[in-house]
Amino acid sequence: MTTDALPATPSAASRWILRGLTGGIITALPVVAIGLYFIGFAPNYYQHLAAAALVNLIIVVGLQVFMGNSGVPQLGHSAFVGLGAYGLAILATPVALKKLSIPHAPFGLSQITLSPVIAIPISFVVVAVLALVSGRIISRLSGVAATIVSLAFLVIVHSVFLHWPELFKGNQAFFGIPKIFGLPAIIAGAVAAIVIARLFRESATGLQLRATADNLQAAEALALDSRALRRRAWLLSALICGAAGMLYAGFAGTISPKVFYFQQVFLTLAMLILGGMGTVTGAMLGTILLSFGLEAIRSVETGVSVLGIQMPAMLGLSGVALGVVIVLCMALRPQGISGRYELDEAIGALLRRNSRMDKAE
Amino acid sequence: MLSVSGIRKAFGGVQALDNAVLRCDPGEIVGLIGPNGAGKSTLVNVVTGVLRPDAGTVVLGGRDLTGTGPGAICSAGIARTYQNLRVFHSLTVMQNVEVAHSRCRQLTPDRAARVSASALLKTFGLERHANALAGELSYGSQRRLEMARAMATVPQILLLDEPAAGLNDEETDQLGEVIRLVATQMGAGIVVIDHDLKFINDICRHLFVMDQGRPIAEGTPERVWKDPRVIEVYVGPGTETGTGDQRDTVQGV
Repeated sequence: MTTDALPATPSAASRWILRGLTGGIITALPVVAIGLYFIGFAPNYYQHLAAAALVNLIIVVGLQVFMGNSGVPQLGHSAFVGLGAYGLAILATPVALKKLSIPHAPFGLSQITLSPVIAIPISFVVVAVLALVSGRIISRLSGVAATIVSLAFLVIVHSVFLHWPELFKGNQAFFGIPKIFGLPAIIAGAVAAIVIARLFRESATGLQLRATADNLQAAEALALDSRALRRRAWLLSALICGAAGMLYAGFAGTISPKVFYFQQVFLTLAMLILGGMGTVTGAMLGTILLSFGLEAIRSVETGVSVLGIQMPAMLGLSGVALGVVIVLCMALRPQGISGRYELDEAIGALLRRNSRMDKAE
Repeated sequence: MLSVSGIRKAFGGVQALDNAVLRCDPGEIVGLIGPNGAGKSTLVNVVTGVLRPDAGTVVLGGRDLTGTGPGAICSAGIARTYQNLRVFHSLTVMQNVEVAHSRCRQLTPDRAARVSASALLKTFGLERHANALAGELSYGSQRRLEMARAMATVPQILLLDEPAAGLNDEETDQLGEVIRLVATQMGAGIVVIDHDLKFINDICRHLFVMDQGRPIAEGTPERVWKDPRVIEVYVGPGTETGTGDQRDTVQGV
């Protein structure tokens, strides 16, 4: 008895890989196009915005891996983003700078500087260990209970960041992180996240997990182990979010605990809800639309002049807009823009419908 | 073979099952019938591990499965369909079947080929819809998909909970053909619960009749429909028993 899917036909195993790869690449195309446009044509300031938006995209994709496939809502993913970011920061920041920021770090961490090649895998291991522990609890719960526990997990991790200043520098900014990632690396990271998430969705585990989300009773009657499946998705989700944190830290060079808290949670949640949490396409669409939308609102926020008339500054408008997006989406189209179909699946369904009409069945 | 005996199950003060019995051999099609509230679906839920019985045993091929969970029962070789459809709406038709392959027992290659997703879709007349989302299928097709999905677990016993409900006459006839095919070609024993007695009489060689949680008769359809207790339950008390007329009445329900 194995937990892996029995290949129904010799080609079944390769079929899902092909499906995931092509689907992932198609979904990543708009991201690559926009990213390259920013690298080539946008001023420096906008490149920073693009990098931040793409880091958000990776977080949203990570969120989708667990929430979209398991159907269990969660709010704790920013904890893993923070763990990834602080992991890289603590391990890779030069000793000279650590003497200024965290001179009394435990475990001799203020005395060492690791190459990113070593610091990144170690950070992933830290994220994985915490994901395995928290996943054991989350996987047993469903509905509101899972959501609340994930939120509690976020609060715990945030509190540790704040109240262990010897290691995390507390409320203050952790600076001096080597800026090892540029916009191209972040674009590559986003593409990788999209392809991995799509491969997971099409894999046996992803398929089985979606079955448990669709109809738990029927899935368990087919001997599917919903807890084990959720644990695996939780781990992958955490690793993707952790990667986003590392990319952010290695791009910005400075991090602080408040970056990885409620504001980020709700921003990324709104992106996923807008795009549609059932699909990786939804994660991509929601992030792009909301990133551009919020940037447009921010430019209005500080007061602009329209046709010679000075509009008043409306600070906080972007926050209101975020809330409105969540409310309107939940009320009018809870499945989000993309609904049940991935981009490539929607194209395929459209083609099939046309050919069916041709046959006039 | 499946052997279920002495099953008792009470909900609060209501004795839903009282010494219920059921048997089914590989390749055999048996019917489980009775009026509404007879306990048929409760018995299916006990056999498939959704409910734990207060007493009695569920034995498959000499192995006692009583009180194990739905997953273990499925792995042991008992699959089911649902009275209220439970296909995975957001998965494609093909994926609905593939997902059921996941945890089943090791198969010999020829057996695996026979229950491959594409072969099953063909058997159940769904190959045209393989890439459509299951939620977009017609009601009748969703019923067939549930059977295909159940067969993907390579069960020794398949329990069908009202498979003909909501189907028209033509669809019901087709369903009967498919059920016979599953029994003869795949060698599965099939237990059919339904209210369509003509359908039941057509495909079943052996019937179990229940009323108020108790078994009241069993045997070939010819014998069962002569049983005075069965006639009383289906036609009502105070009528003469065992005449051809009444049997036709019952069969024509």
